[in-house]
Amino acid sequence: MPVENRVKEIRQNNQLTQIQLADAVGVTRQTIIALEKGSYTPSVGLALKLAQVLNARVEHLFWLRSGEGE
Amino acid sequence: MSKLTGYYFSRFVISIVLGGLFLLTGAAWWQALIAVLGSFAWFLWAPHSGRYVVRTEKGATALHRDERTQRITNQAGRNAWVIVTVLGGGLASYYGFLAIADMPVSLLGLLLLSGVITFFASDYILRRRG
Repeated sequence: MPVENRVKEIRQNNQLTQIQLADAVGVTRQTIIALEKGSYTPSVGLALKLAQVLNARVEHLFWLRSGEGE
Repeated sequence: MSKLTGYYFSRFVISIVLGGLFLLTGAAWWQALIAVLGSFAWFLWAPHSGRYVVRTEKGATALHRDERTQRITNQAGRNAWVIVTVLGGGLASYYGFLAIADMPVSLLGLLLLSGVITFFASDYILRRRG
């Protein structure tokens, strides 16, 4: 199911590097890169952790591509 | 002191132990040395490979795959399993029903090799794809 995200934008607003974010949520930097590129859809657990670390609501970070799931 | 210092130190000890085990099996000193250096080099590379996350609180089992790398590894393993099963089934059917002969044991090695190649090729492609 195609999911889009604004992880990169919010990470940059929080002045975090990819490595810092990866360490904070317990994944590799490559996973953060894949996520920001939109080529990887995280599990619910990882999405919630990202929302917590980035101080954002999970539905603000991730959403279904328009036309999908409607 | 970096977060990884403890990890590196413990992996050095593990590498030394591994070298000791090699010596106990009757290997030459230089073979044990290669085992120590090789395993320590791998431990140095692993945290920077993008494949593993270091969880220092886990002690001896500090290296873990994260959910993406675990998913990639699982998919690569499934691909390898399918290839080995299909080829194995095909070979068994051929020798059982068509050639009516014993299957050469050497083909089993090729079968395993095809599985290994499929695993690493899948792993490589899936990582590049994201």
